[in-house]
Amino acid sequence: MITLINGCSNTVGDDLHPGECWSDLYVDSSPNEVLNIATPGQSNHLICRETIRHLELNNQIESIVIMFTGFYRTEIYRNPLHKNRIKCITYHSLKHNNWDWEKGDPWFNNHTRNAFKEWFEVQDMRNFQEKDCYDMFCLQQYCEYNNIKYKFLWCYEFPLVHIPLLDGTKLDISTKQEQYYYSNYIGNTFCKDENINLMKFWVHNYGNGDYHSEVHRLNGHFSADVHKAFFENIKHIL
Amino acid sequence: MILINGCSHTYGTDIDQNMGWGGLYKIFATKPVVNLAKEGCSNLYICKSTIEWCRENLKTQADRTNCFVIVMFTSVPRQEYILDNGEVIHLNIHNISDNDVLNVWFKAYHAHGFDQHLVQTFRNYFEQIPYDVHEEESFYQMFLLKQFLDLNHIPNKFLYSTKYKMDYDGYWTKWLKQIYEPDACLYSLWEHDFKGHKYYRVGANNGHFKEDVHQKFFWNIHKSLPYINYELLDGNKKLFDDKVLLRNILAP
Repeated sequence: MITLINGCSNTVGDDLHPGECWSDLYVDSSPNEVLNIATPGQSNHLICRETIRHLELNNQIESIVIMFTGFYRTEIYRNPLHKNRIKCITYHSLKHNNWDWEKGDPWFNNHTRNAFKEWFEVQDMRNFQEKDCYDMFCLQQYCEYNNIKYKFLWCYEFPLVHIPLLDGTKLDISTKQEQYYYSNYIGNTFCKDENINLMKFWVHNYGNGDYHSEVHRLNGHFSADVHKAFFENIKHIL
Repeated sequence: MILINGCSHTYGTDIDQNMGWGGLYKIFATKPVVNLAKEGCSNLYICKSTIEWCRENLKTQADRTNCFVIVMFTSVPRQEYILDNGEVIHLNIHNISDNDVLNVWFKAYHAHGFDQHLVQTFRNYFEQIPYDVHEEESFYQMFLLKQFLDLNHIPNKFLYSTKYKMDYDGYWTKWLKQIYEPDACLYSLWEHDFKGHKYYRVGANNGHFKEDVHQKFFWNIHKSLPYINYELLDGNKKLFDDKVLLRNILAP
């Protein structure tokens, strides 16, 4: 039987050597065949959507381990004739103009980049979070009813009650339970245990509580030590 | 309990709401009907609000089995936006280009962040994503809702207010093609039975269908709907008389 793993660059193992990422350590310790379909930069929406698509197409998958990513992400789709149809966009990469991969790509021009950057900037973080949490909820329901074992991990934000916006201000969703129904559901159901969050594990054990620290971090990714310690800490629940 | 959800076509915008398909079901149903439809909302919103309602209102398996959920999906692209005061507005490719609608919103919501920049940002965003990709995304949402309803044993039916192109080579488009019923599409009924006649369109940009179209649509689908009061329906057959409904087409 197969265990499916999905996530973003923190599950791919970007900026790490082969074998150092938590997902590699899981492969080494799992009795199952492991299929890792993680993609750098992908959104929680695409993580859920692709996971369900794989589950629909492959009845040998009996369990999944998902590491969810940050909220300010989306995907763009290109002309069907283009080889790589889906491109993952993060607000961070747009803001810092971090687009090495698209040099020489006339389709992804400045206008397109600005359109997405401004679209991110006018959004309310609560709305992004709510949509992502709805996706997570649907994936959980899918697994429950199809007898797929599932484990959810996080590598960036948990669903938050006090949400820091892009401009640094904070919003409160706790008084609007109905409007943020799925955020509250995911937050209350899965996110009590901070050990399942790679970023929180790092900030508590390596970063001295400072989220801006670069200790044991490269390009926003965590070091092999962090992955190893994180995996040791959670392997009993996987 | 019967749950109805959808966009303005289900809400009954620009027509007598009792003569919209949702209003007619409410009149001829033997069970209480809740209509959650919101004007201008997206398919994502329809799916999310339907699931949320089911979870909050159908607590036992008996509740779920005895409920009927009927959803009329809407056009793409659409997206919800939360204003500074927490109010949700439903943006779509039509209302974001309609000056009459925009002027009302600018007046009502300017203090809460609804301005020209926001409108232009969403226009640019919608333009960046091909139409068929918006469709693929909507079909994924439909799949999630269908899964939720079926796996919870909640009887359900899907309707469509618009005719989708369904030409994207994607998994979810292929999935919808397998379950799609052409008779469940309001637009297709207008196009075929009413010959696409403009007389039967109403509202801004002729975006809605007149009562006649809804009446015929309801008549066509009523046999596939549970909890119909057939005695009451038989007594009101004149509402569904083709000679009346199609008079503008049948007339020489």
